[in-house]
Amino acid sequence: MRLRTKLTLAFAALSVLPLLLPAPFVAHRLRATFTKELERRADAASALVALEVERLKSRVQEAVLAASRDSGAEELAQALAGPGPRPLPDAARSLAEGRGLAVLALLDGTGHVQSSAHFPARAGDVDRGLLAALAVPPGTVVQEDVEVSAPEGPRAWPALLSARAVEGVPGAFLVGGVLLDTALATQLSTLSGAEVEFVRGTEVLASAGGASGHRLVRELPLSGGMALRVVVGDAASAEAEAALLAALALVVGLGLLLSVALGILLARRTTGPLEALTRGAQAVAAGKLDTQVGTRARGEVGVLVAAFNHMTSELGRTTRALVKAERVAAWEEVARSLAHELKNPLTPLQMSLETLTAAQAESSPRFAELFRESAPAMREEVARLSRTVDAFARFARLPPFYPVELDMGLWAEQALLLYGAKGAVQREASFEKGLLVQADRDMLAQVLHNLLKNAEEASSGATPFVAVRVLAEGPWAVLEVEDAGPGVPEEAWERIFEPHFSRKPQGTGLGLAICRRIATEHGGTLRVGRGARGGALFRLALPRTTGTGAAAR
Amino acid sequence: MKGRCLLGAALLARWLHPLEAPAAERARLGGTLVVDLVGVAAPSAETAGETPEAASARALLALPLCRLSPEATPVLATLGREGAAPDTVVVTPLPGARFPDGAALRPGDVAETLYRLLEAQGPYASLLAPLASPEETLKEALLHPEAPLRLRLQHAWPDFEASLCHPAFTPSRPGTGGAPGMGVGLYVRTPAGRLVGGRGTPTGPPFPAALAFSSASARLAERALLRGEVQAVLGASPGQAASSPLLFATYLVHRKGSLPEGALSALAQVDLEALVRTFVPGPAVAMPGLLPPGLLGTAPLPAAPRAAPRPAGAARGFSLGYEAALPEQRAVAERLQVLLHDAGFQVHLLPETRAGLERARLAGAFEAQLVSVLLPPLPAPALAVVLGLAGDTALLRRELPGLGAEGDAAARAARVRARALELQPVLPIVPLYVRGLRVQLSEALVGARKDSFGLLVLDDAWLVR
Repeated sequence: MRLRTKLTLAFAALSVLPLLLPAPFVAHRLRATFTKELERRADAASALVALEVERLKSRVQEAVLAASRDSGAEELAQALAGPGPRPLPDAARSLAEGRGLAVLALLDGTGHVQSSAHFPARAGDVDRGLLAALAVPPGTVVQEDVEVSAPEGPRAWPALLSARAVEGVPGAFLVGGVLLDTALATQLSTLSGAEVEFVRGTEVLASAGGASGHRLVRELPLSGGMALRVVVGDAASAEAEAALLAALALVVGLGLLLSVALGILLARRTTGPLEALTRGAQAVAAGKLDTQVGTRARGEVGVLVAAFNHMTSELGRTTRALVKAERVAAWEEVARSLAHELKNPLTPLQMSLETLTAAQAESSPRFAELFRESAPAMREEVARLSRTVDAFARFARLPPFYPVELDMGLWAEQALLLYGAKGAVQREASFEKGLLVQADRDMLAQVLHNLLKNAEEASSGATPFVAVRVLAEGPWAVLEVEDAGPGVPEEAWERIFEPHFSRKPQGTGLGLAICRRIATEHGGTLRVGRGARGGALFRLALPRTTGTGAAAR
Repeated sequence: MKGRCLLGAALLARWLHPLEAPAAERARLGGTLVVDLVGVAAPSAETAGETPEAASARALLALPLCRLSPEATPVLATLGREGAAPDTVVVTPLPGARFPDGAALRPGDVAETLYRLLEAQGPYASLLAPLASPEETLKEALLHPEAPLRLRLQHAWPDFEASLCHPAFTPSRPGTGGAPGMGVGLYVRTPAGRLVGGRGTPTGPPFPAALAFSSASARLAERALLRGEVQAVLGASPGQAASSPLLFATYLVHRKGSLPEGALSALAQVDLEALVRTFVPGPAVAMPGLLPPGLLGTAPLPAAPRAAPRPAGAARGFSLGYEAALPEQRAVAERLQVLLHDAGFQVHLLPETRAGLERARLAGAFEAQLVSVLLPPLPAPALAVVLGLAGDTALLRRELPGLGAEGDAAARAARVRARALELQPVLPIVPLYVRGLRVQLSEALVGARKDSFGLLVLDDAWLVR
């Protein structure tokens, strides 16, 4: 992970954690507060409903009492008892109107309904619920089931009832009250703000209001197995809680975004010079020794940048001087080698020429003989001079470089076939295929030829052995040539690639130097080491390419 | 009685003679006669809401063709048999009979009224069943509206003229745009909505010069009557209940096979006396037979079906339609629902308009309905209406010739009673009760009476001032 990313994340974490860590505690406290509030609401609503029910009973008492004293009730009772035509069975309705009585019936002394506001069709019958209200002391409010009209027919429904005798008419009674129905539930629900249900056992007879979410129930017992259930829901508080938590989440989210943005800015400012230094160091490692970092920075990082720039400046200058010195030294070495190589054949040539010159001056009879003896040696030395000059010329100027893409393993396998079996030399070969490189086929053949030739010459002992291998090593394709010879001393592992260094009497000392130069031209390396059999192990490593699909063999 | 009726008819005939002075110019003497309607919103000449109060109010605005007393005394038209063809009844409008717009009543107007009734196939259409080719006859008469209307009977039917005195045959012109149709009446409606004496109203005091309706509860109406603010209250206290004919009959009509098993037995067990006493405004009596007791006499009724055991399991149900505008029908329907519920049946009540109930009945799209009809005061036409209500036209065509063949009224009535008793068990009709008009009149109103249908007649009434 990059330093900048790490710093950004660290900034974000430092900003958000203080907000996130107390969040569960805040949410818990919030929930506890809302739960307490919900219980308080349920208690208040329950108390309010209970109070309203008591008020309702009082109102029923008063309304029935007022109706029993109404002249209309007296007239109605007398008309029903009289010889004239009977009033309509719903005549009691006018008495009920305006008094808030959903149930009102005029009963005779036998308990038969004479006129009914709530169920006119029951006139002439006995309603046991109404009759039960007559059985208690006047003015007492009882809860009984009375018959009411429903679309499918009569239906028993609980009601709060009170009975009174009609004043002035013996044997006539008024029973009135309110139904424990949806209308009353709605009234109580509106008053209390809670859901109100009339239940009998598990059956909900009437309900009004809606309590959603988590429901908190308070039950007020009524008679006849009934109860008045007051229910409050936490939907509103849950909504408020959710809104608060959402706000908290929004704050955390915005804080996170802000801290990430600030973190990015700060990390950029902090890591910018360091990243520039990293890129500079990578450039130096890649060979661009005089790389300068252009980032402006202050403090310790500024000092570091200045030191880096100074260091690379010095390094570049020193390297250029060193290269120049090496180049001079190389030329000196070449000149020395060339002088040495040229001087060696010149001495025998000079001596032969002086001998022949002296023999001719003395008119020696052996002149012809001496000439015959010296001429071949002199030609040999001249040829040697010529070879030496040619070799230097080849070293100084490699042929044009024509790289093509080729499969190094395949190419090496085929190239090795051209050499065929070489006497008693034991060969071991292994070629990993598919390792593509960009290489000049002729130059590569020159390297292989040179290495094989050296290996065979080195392995000319009792058990001549040469191993050729092509293998992959990371981004490199490596050609190994190993022999079973005496090997190369470790102190000579670099020197043998210098021009004119040869451990063979007839060698020019330029073969391996040319091979290394070819390797360098290909962007690769040529090194020597010790093989598993103790002999020399040459390793030519060339960079692999991804290939274009047209690899040459 | 007969002499009084003839006097009234003569007065009417005199009133109906064309008068030169238009209504607006006539002196308004005699005051305003105020009639209070209890339980009736407004009188309408268009629909036949079958309560005595509504029918009476309607009759005050539109005169019938004739009044039955006991002959068909002409009011708007003379009804007579042609000497050469005693099976043909000729309807001839009186010369002075005019609609409120001044147009004379023509035979074609009577034919149009009869045709509308026939086309509607209501319960009163069966009163025209004795006619031979009634549709063709009436269509022909419509083509020649000025020609005397000749109605040929396909069989003997001595009560045909009396049948035409039924308020259902009151001539009227259909209203436009949904307005009530106008009939020939003593009073005409001014543009301001007042009912003032028309061309036929007597010109001098003490005859009322205007008619007004009011609507209040029974108690308030009676108080207003005592204070002299109104002169007649329809639907209030008993008044002349004892002598009032009870002809507004209510039946439970059911489609054959639509009621669950045992439902008819349960209906037969209903205590009609108690039902009437508690739920039907008087004057009213229970009607255990197909016809009102006044028409059926005291003949023993067929035994009621034995009470069926209470059905086990889930309650079996049926729908019961009733006329929503009639509080009396609603009360009876709800009481029947309760009683049948106690007997194990579930009755689904369907409040409907009268037109809606008739449409459903004609289409056979009903299970049971409460239907109220105004029966003619004569047994044979009354039975015809009941048979028409049953919807069995074939039975109607079979029964009427035999009844009409009895030339003597008493013998005809006896035969009608016998057939009514025989047919009752097979007809899809359960008779319930019959009502009459409750009316209370002020002492200031003199000359008011009831006709043979029990409707209030103010033709020769005047106000004492």
